[in-house]
Amino acid sequence: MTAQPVSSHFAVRASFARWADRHFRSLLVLPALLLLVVLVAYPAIYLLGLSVQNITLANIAKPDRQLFVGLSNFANVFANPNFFSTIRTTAVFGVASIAVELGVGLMLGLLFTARFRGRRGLMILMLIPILMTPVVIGLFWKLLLNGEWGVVNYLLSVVGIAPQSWLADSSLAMPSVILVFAWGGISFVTLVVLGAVESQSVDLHEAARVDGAGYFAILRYVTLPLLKPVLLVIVLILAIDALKQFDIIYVLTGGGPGGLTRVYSLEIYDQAFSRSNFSIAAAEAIVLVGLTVVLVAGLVRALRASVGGGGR
Amino acid sequence: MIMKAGTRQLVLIYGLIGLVVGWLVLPALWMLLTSIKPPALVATNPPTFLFSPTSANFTAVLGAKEVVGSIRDTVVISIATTVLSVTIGSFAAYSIARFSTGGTPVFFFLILVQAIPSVVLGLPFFVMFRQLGLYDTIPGLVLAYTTVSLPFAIWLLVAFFDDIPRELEEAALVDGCSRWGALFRVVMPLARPGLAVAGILTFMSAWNQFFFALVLAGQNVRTLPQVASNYISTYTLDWGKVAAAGVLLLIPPVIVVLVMQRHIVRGLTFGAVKG
Repeated sequence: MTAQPVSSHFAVRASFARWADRHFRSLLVLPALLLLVVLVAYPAIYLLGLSVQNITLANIAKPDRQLFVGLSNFANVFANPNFFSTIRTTAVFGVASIAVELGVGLMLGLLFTARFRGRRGLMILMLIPILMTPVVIGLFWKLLLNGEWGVVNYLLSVVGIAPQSWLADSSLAMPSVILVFAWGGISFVTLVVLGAVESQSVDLHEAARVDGAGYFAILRYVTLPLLKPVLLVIVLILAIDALKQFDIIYVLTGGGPGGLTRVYSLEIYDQAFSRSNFSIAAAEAIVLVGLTVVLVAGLVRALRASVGGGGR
Repeated sequence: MIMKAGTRQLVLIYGLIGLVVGWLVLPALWMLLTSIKPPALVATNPPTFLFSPTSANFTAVLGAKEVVGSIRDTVVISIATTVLSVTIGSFAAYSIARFSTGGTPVFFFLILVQAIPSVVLGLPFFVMFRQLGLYDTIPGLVLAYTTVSLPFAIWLLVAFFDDIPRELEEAALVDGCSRWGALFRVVMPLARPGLAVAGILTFMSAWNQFFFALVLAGQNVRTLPQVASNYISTYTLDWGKVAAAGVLLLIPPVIVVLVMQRHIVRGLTFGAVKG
């Protein structure tokens, strides 16, 4: 950049180039940042605004009838027993589905570390649920779980179990929804566990084996402790995923029977789009953001720890 | 831990794996089977396993105007979202990968935006889009999808840029290239495979999107997941059509899995294994 500018035109260009080079890193982020501010931050502020007004379908087009109501929507949300049953439903759904995903996924991931024929082909099949459209997952499980002619009932009848209405029965709907949702998450756990175990140092396993440790001793004292930071990351990702869940449950049960599978997102959807209580829904959504922030903060810390601990 | 398996362990391994993989794979196969069943045999008890396949369900589904229109809309929206997200996202990702631009707050924000349930943004969008004339339009859905796709694309791309050695651009800088010249002439060409993988995964996530279309569109613009979900209530007695719509939705994911398995494992799981 030491060349003498020959004319003012070049001087302008050169100084622009210098300016652009100096602000290189900021200019690169600027478009994405602007777009996300417009698309995420602005609606978030709008949501806050909604939550402190009294907007329903009746007055949404009439600004003169919209009132500032302070935090009373939040007070109403927390005073509503249905809201707490939603929270409980979400918690049960989340904890149970994480348990299934983690249990089965961990077992499969460990099994896949063995060398056996057909391993590669099976791993390709494992990828399908990860990329599968959630709506379709709900759709074909609804087909399989049909109470009158579903294959699941047929297979159970072969071993002598009476047919059930899996998605309509009040004690079976939640377990069914949990298993269907977990169905979509197992592969993710399997692949992450497999990747993490295979990147563990072979020396440690070798040393344990030389010291006379059997398979399960190595698993318990070497593999799993080393896996801990990664497992924590997995649990947090699964928790975020469970808290977000809408599509599969919407298709399977729509939150029924009798609201028994109405998790948090479905509750907000019902509040806003079935009952048109936009302001109440906004207050619920803000509480949900709070819960998400807590989980994400945990995830960020866990990610840092897993990288710092050589989890690569 | 590489396990040296004996015969007994192998039997156990195959047994367990067979069980779980059966659980993971057979359901989707049953849908495929249902989609090519003659309509009269779909809802029978006991289920019909043997039948002469028919294309009747697919012909009916693909003959429906709403399905053809929704396929077109879904493809247009997904491509537009992907191009927007990957283009803008690649610059941001490069800056974050090289200079840790924004530090922890940006890192946190990128994860948070991906973690926030769709309904949280769908609700203000629903009200705002009506006022802005974006309700039930393709640009409206592209903007809504971008809230998910842009952070996702940046997240994927940061890892890819991390893998491109700095020495190459430093050499270009020493040779008199400007920062921008080095970016466009050295880094971006090297990042092309990463950009392609990020593009395909971003396309898939847009293709699978359901919620925004459910609340922000429905008359003029429809997406395939939305139409498929409507089918369940419309054709409660005609599950062959529902299954056919489901199979159509699965074609892109299955192609993607078969063509680029290795890249997907990396792209989708590095977040957990590698910060």
